Amino acid sequence: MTRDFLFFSESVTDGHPDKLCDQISDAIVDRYLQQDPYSTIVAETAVSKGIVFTAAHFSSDGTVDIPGLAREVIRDIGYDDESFNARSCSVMTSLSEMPSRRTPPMDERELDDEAIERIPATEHTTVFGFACDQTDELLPLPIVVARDLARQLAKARRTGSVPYLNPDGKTQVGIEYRDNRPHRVHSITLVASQKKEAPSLTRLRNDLMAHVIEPVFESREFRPDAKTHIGINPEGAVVLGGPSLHSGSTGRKAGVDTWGEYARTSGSAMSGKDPTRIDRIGVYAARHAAKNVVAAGLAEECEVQLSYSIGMPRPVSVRVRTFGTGRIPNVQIGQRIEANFELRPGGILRDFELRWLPIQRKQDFYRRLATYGQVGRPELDLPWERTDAMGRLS
Amino acid sequence: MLSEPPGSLTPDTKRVTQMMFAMQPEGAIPESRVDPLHTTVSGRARLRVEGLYRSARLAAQLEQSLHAHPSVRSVRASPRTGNVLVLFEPTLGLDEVCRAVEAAIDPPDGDVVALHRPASRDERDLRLARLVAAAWRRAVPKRHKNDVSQKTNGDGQLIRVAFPSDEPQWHMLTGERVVQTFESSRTTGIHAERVHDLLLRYGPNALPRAEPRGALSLFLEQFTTLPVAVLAVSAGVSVLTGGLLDAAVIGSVVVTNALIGFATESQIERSIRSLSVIIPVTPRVIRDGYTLDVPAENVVPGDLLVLSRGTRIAADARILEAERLDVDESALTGESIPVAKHTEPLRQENAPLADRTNMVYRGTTVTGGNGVAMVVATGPRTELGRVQELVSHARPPETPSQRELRVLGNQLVWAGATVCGAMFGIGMLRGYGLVQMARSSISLAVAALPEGLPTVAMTVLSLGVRDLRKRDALVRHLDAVETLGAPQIICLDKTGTITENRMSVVSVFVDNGRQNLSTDDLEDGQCALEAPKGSTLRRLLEVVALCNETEVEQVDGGWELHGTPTERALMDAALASGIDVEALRSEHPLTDLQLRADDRNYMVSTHSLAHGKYLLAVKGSPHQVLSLCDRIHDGDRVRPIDEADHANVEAENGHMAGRALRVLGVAYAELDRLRRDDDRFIWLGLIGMTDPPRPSMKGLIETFHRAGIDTAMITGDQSATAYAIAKELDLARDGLLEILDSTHMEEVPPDVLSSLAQRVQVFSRVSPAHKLEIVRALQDGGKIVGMTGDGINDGPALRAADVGIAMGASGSEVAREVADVVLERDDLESVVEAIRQGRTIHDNIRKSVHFLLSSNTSEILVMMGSISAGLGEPLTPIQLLWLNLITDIFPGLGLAVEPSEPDIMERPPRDTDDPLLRRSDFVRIVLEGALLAGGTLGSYAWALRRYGAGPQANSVAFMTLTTAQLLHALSCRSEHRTIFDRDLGPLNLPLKLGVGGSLALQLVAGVIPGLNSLLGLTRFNRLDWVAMALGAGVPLLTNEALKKVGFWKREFEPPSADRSPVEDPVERSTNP
Repeated sequence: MTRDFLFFSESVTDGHPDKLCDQISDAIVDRYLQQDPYSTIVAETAVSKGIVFTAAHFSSDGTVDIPGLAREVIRDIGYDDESFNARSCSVMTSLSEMPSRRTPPMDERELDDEAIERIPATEHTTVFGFACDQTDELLPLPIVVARDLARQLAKARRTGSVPYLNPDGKTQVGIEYRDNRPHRVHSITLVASQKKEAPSLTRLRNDLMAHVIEPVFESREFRPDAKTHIGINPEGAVVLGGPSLHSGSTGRKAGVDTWGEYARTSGSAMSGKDPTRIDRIGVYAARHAAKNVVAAGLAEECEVQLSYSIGMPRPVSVRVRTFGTGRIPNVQIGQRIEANFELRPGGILRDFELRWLPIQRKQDFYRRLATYGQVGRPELDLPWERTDAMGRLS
Repeated sequence: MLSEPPGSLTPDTKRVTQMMFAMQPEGAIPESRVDPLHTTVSGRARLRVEGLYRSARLAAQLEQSLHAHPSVRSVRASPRTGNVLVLFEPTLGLDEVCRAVEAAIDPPDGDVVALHRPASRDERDLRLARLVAAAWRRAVPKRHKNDVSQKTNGDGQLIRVAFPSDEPQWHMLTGERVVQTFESSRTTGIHAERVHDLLLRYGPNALPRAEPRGALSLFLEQFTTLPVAVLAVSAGVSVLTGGLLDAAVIGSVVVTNALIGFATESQIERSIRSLSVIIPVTPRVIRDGYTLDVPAENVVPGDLLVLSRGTRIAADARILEAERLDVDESALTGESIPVAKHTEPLRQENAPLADRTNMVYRGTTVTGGNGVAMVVATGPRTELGRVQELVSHARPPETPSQRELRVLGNQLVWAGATVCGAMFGIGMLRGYGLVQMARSSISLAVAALPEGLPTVAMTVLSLGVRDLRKRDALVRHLDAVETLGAPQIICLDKTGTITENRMSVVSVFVDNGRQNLSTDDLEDGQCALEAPKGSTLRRLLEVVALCNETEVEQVDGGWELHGTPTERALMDAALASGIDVEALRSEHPLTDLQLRADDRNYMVSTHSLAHGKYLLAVKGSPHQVLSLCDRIHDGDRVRPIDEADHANVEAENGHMAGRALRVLGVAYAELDRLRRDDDRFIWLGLIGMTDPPRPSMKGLIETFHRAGIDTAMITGDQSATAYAIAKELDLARDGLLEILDSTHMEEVPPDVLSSLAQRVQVFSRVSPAHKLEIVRALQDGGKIVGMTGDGINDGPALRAADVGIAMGASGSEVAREVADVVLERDDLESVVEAIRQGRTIHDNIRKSVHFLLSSNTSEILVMMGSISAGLGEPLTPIQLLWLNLITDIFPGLGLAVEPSEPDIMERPPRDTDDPLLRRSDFVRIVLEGALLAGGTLGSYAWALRRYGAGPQANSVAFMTLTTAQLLHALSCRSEHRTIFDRDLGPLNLPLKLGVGGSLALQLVAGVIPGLNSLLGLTRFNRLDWVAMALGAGVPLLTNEALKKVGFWKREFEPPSADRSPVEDPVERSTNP
């Protein structure tokens, strides 16, 4: 297998329709958990033209004005053109309130190990966690750069340095690898949507070069060189963009949420699910394990696979792959992970305090995860990004 | 007189004007313009009057002038024929009549008798407009069957072309030109002293009275239906064949039917006439610069009409000024979307009415904005007047089932004729005598003719209207009675319909803390709110008391408040906390008030303070008010507002909304100068009010659901509020609640909206204007839609809905006028009643028709079967006729007034595309007829064997068939319940009388000497009675047994009590 290759990852701005849906779904999760940490909620959102469709199944003591919240998210993102905006869009909600709930609600933080052991997985799923030592965040370089570009693109619009931009945009970064290490930036592609009365494409290209690409690479080790291919709106101007141009739905950007397809990703959506859902929090646990493996120096790259089966309180399979970079056998890493990491649904809830984060952080928590990745994100101090278990592994 | 209107006309209009005056060139009056046509009857003359043709004005003038003539009893001038019919004292010579008419055509000045106007004239126009609209509705395919492209092109086919007019094309002229034409002024209107002259010249602004059908003509009309005509012919033939007695019986059948028909129809005419809620129109006009309200009939061309929201336009007029003027022209064009009006002249000659956007027309209503328009046509010359001329002699429109019955009846006439012809043929082949066979065939034809069908339908409908009237539900057209039972979804207004529309403050959120109060506290008048001076709460209450339009009136020991429910609730709270509102208001005089608008969901009042400062008080949508704030009033200080405050407010707003509260955000600002748009405010808090659902509502919603009717709630509230109520009321039938939250529904593509709307139970944040879109979206999906409403804005939606329901005495005139049903109480209970009634009526028409057809079939089969089998004629002609007389109409009428079946509100709504009788019904009718015939033939055969052919056998057959038919009426009371089922309920009185009386008559006829020999009835022995009882009873029992074993497929399954949940909630929570 060749160790020289090109890898491309893409990311999108918060105004991208798929991400818009992720944010609405996660904002709903936040709002329920803020009012009642024991809420269970699954919210799926789709958007097309002027219509936002949200299906929510929930059981909670709280109440959420879902259409109002959806409008708030749309307003916050900054859509204000007449084809799609917070005021004039229509929001269709399909609500089904699940009558029963556990009584009394259990705070996993106060449960002993036996009680945790009695909480089974309620979904069957196979999730993956990945880490590698290419960046400080222990994520692959392409997705990190692509995310930074997307974030910078949104920032350029919000701060007004490129005022004629619209919220929808996406980025792609290609990195050339030599001997399995990033070698140079092969290509950068930005697609930014713009308002109707925007200036010429040349101006857009110059502005994005100056206000997006340059700031992102300023402090980076790898910078575009003379041969790097830079494409800005290669197919011409994208006027308005957003839901009036293409539709979106929750959970379609799994790669953007994780490691940019560099390693395997579970197919199920993460956004819009409350933290009792193992197909969401299993990813966090797996990433936590993988990241600590890499941080502990047991491997340069590590993929942790966890499989859960309904009714079983522990993962039915824990498998580790290190792609030939491991210092000890994969099986052994797997055993250490099983021995030292909390992989039970109840345990993950307890250790990461997932029910309580939206209250503790005093601001939306899950909604912030819905943009620019659910892993990495040093600015959010995510519990699963801590390398606190490094010591236990060696 | 008929001079050209002063001022020059454009060449385009000259042509038509010349046409109009061609018959009576000015200044050249011919020697005699009156030509006697028909004068043979003394005291009665029909005269042709030149110039009368198509001149309603002249007709009115003739009528009015001649009425005043002492010797003229009655005048009727018809512009359609150009003739005048004069009834006069015979002492008056014909010449004098002609002279009087001449004089009336061209009265010398001052000779015109003062115009007398029957007040009711004006009242008829609305009803007739409705009739026309209804006729148009029927003439074009149902709207919801149209495809989307048709709908989006503005319902082109609904828009009527303007009548070819002898008027100038006012819409093409400039406003100035119109003003000049009438020598009026666009600012001060006409001079008041000219009004009299103008009234003389143009006639009163009233529509010609449509003469109600006279009693005689109504009675005679009963004889003009095909079945009755056939009966009359039969009577004639009977006379020719020597059956004088037969003819007499046929005659009595005809007269009985006609009498009953006459009675019901005049009842219907009466009730229809009283259906229209009559509201006298007093348009506001400007004359001599003064604005005054005048009676509608005094409006003259040249008058300046003042138009504002809710104005009902009294005459056709050209708009001179328009400010966001929208007019609902549905009465005239059928187009339910209000038309935006402007003042610019149009280019298109003969533009369709709906495109004449610079004109307003009599009978239409202003739904928004205001304007000024100059009257160009009044009375019969208005577009509405012309429409009315078309329909003034029309009968009330047939309802769908009436039409169906008429068509069915006519088809049956031919079918019956064929059968009778066949019987005649077979009889002849079998060697019966010609005369005998002719008499029998004719009698059979008479017996088999369904002459009672239309009468039955009419009776059911009119009784239904009357019954609903008693329950405070006013049905406004006859055809609405039938649609009443059909809605598949009912859209309900939240405010005022589901709730009582009485708000009170129950929760306040200030200083990051929530204070709840119960409604009882406020009612007790205690100081429920502890609001010390200087506290945030005190400030908040002061602000909502200032930013408040409620009028506060001190009455002994309390206050009386006049204003909107929300503002009253706020004022209540302020007063309850001990704020002296009157003092507060006088200390803070109001200088400016910015009300809520479509794009601004908050209200700002500006108050002047000492030292040239201003206080701004704001209340409105929490989101919008919060976004205006950069500081927050926290305890006793003001500090910048931060993220956490926003989050708190958002969370509390969600919480309050979750409790179904109406939430307002409150803020204020103090400025040194007047307000600018970028001024920021100081946030005070949230205040939550509620308007709880009526206690009876939950049961009602359940009733609707059991009746297979979906419910949808329409509200302007945010969806969490709506959700809480929807949850409380169980609006969702299967547990999954769908909410469509849309402030700009018009931007949703119609096909998308239509597919979304089908499952939606709550339309939130919707403005009344969107109701029309909702109705159309639902109709596009093939639903029959009921819609409640009360406001001016609701008019279009109520009209577009299949069943428009105007709520309550408080409803606006517009809503009441366009609705199909007006509820006198706000209570939705009567809607349920109305639906039950509508369904019962449909049911009962079916039952009656079912009975009539199956019993007639049995008669045919008995005769045909017996003659074909060579058993002779089981019934004599006179027996057949008697049978027809007593077993048809009275039991049929009895069935027509059957009470509702107990499960009538537990069935799904019927499919309106289904005919009254389906193919399967005809199969059943024939089969039941065959059973009846079988029983009769059985006892006849037994009698034949025992007594041989003769009166005894005939009598047995006769008695058996009569009894069997009467018993069958009992069986027809329900399609699926047997007569032994307890829940069928007791017999209703008319049916008891109908069946029992007929039976008694039959028995009595057997013992009355003379009558019994006439009918050929003989005495019966015990065995005969047994045979007859078996012959009549067995078919009944067989029919009931067939019902019992479920032989007849039900068109619906009875709802099972334990409906299994549609989906397992656990499964639903699984994400793909």
